[in-house]
Amino acid sequence: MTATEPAALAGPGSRPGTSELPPAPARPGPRDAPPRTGPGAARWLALHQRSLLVLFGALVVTGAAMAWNLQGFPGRANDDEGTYVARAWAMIAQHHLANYTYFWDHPFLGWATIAAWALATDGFSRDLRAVMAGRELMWATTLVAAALVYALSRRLAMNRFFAVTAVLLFGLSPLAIWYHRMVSLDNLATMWALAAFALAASHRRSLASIVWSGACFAAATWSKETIAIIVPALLWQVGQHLGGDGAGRGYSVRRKYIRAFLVVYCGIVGLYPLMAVIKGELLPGAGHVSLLGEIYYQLAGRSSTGSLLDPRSGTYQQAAQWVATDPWLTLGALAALAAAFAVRRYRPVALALLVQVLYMVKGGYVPYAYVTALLPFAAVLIAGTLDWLWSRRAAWFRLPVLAAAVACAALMLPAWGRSLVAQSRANGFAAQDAAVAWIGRHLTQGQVVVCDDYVWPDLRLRTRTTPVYLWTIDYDPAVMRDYLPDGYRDIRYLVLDPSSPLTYTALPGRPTLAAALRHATVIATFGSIDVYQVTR
Amino acid sequence: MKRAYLRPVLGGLAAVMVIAGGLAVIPVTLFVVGLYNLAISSMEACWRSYAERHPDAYAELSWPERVAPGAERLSFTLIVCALDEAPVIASTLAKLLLQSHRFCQVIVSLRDFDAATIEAVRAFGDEHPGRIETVIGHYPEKGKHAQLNGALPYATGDYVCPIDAEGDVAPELLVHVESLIHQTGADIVQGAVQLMNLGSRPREWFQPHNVLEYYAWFSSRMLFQVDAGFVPLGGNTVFLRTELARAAGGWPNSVTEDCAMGVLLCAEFGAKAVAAFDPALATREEVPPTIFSKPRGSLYFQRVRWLEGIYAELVRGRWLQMPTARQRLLAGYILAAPLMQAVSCAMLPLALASSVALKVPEGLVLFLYTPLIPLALTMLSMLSGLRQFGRDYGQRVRLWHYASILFLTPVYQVILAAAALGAVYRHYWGNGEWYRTGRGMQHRPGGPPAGPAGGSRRLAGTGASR
Repeated sequence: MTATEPAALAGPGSRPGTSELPPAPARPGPRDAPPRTGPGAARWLALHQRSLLVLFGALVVTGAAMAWNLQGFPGRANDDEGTYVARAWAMIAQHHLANYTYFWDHPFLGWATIAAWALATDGFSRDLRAVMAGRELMWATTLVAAALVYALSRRLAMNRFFAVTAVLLFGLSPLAIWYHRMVSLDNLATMWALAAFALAASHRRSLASIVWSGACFAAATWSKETIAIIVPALLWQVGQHLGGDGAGRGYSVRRKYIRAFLVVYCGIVGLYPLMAVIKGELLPGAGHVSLLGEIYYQLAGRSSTGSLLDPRSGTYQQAAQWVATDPWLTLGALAALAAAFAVRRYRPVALALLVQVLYMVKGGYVPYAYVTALLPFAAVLIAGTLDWLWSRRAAWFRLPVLAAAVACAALMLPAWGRSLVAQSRANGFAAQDAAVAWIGRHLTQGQVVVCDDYVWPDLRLRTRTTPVYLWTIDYDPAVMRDYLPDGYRDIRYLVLDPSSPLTYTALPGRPTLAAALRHATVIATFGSIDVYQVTR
Repeated sequence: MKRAYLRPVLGGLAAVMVIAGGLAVIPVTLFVVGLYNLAISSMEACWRSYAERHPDAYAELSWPERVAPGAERLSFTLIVCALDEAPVIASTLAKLLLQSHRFCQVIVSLRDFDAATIEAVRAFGDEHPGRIETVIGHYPEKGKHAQLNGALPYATGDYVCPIDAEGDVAPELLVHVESLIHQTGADIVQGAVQLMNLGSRPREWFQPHNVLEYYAWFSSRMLFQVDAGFVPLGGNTVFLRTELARAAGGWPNSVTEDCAMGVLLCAEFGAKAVAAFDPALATREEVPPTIFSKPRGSLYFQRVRWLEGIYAELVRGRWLQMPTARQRLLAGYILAAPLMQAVSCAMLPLALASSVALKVPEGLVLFLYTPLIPLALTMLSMLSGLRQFGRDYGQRVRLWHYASILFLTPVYQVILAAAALGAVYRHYWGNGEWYRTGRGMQHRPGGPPAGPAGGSRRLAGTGASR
């Protein structure tokens, strides 16, 4: 047996003759540099050129409107503003989660974001008022949220004009200006929630966008836990956008994606209770705060503000106030809500709005900034409904729509403009600034000054006194132990605004504070703010 | 000899210094460890869901329609490497002859001392005159690559495909491969291999894990590697352009010649690799029956050998010749993954424990827990993969199979991690012997029988040798 040429011995199974190989590139040898498939950024820019231009215009307008007297209006309306800024300051300066005992009232991502902003921009030493550092961040947050409103509108198949309409409604409504300017966790949570919605409606329908949507919504929940009530709407958005089954797999890709969404969302949100476990503060117990205790208080213990349907309730009063501030956006959204459920692609967003309205109807505690998370969805629904009406091509249909829209705009825009101009002249902090300056001049090192949280960070940063937040008195054992071991006698001064709910809602049930006030005399007055001195 | 020790010793010193420095700055170390764990677990979750990254991605993995009967234009050479396979070789060859492709050459590559198998192949050739060809050689090196390279000069097909002696190849495979080659112009086609037995006894608890590894590998990871342009090939159901295999000088001498060949062709020859997956066309194999018992077939030692081969490719550095930085990064990840996974397997529990035991900032503690989220995604993907495996392959998946995946995955990961470390150990200090999985029952004869040294004899169409 000898070795033979292979070709000659090819068996019947092998194919003789010519090669019909598919063309092969020249080889062997090291390959040339591969062709770079279109650079992503340049392509993206080219594709979205017009959108970017109109969006830029809309953002300039909203940004300018919002920045116009950001420092002076709204004034001292809700000292949660100061609370979050003070906690952000504590994160930087004291490396604690809050300036007082952190009692699990909200997750801390919101003021961690403020802290990061203040750290990056040197906000606390640069600004006249500490709260301004927070308000600047709110300005940036709102611009990002406005861009996301545009993206979401476009992904819900609205044309550019109506997408910009949504942005302007969201950015210019007097109601929006009021709440967007104020430092609130809700602004941050709303921005994250909008990002989650925009990702869920991504054209690519990729698993990555769903996972990132879950992560963004987790960030929203980490910023303000109440946003979690719209998670069914977001899930609907994810499911609806994915549509039917993936090709060839014989089971629902949609279900897998939603499962991945839930794992990521619950996983990130779950870090919060995990942290409570690690700190040993999950379950209520003697001598410490707890997450479950706080949740129980929020859900069951805290007094309800009543149902929207009850005209005597606090919720109703609040809603009435919103409508009075801007009837166009609020009532328009209610009208659009009904219409939007008729259009398939708007339904998830409509549900996001509806769920939040229903929560107000159900009755429970409605926080001050609750309306913040309703605003973008209201804006998108109004613009979306207009887009839908406009897209009915028939002229007989279009003309009345056009006429009505122009008429509304003609009434609405001057009203908005007037309120913007009026607001630009206000300086809601004049009295506070004067009081803080006076204290800085007259009070000495380490004197305990009881104040609200608008004043707290300024006293802490700009005077040598030791401010004590009035809500912590008789409430936080650490404060009583560290600052007021002798009760009211340790209080030297009080900076209060007796005419404002910032003060009078805190008075009941605080015997130490009441005792201090009994022994106090007013030694200086700045607007409605009084400075009291306590005589021992 | 001294030089061989230098690298691990230096590496050990560096590791000790890193650890010592790390203890000095615990939070920074923990942060780095957390980041590492997060990156590793996220990459794992990414490639596992790669074939489902958008609803239509899965379709990219399907085989095209077969070429019509009689319309085949390419030819294929199947190289069957056998060593001590006398009992099974006939049935394997009989299966191969069922291939529906009309231009299919079958070469059996044998070692000259393996008299029993040579006899079995000769007997089979007598029964099927002219259907198979045989190459018998005397090769000084151990390993499959020698047998493959011995047969390569005789391959007449446009594409060659190594076949394992116990492989169960689908008869319709070649006609689909040809159609895929026409569609893509690929130099390399990697089809799927699937382990089939999920196990039925408690001591076979690891089998669903191994089955799922294959399932995830061929139904998802292969696509990830193809898109990265870097495919360490599987041991069989791989088709290589013959001309390219010859240009590369045949299969490299490696304990995992298949992986090395894939790396060589991708990195140095810019070969275009494609993959396809269809349960009906997958080559079916068995899970090793035990974890540690060498003679009966061991998962652990099989894995040590594979990972040693992959590790050898990593340190040899061929992957650094990939053209773009992104591809180099992906290629490095693909080769280093088992080792990085092993490190992460130790780091994760360590990080979680130290987050409780040491006083570290709250934010850092939470961060150390974040790798659990991608791990949960991976678990989800494994559980649904098990269900899908059952449907795709008509296997009955029982509740305890799911339970094994859900609860025993950490144990399985520890075994894999140990194998990865064992592989590194063997790479530097091992004797280079390679363990053949579950085929050690028959022992080799005392010494090689007389034969022409160094040459290779060829029985061309065993029928003719009569």
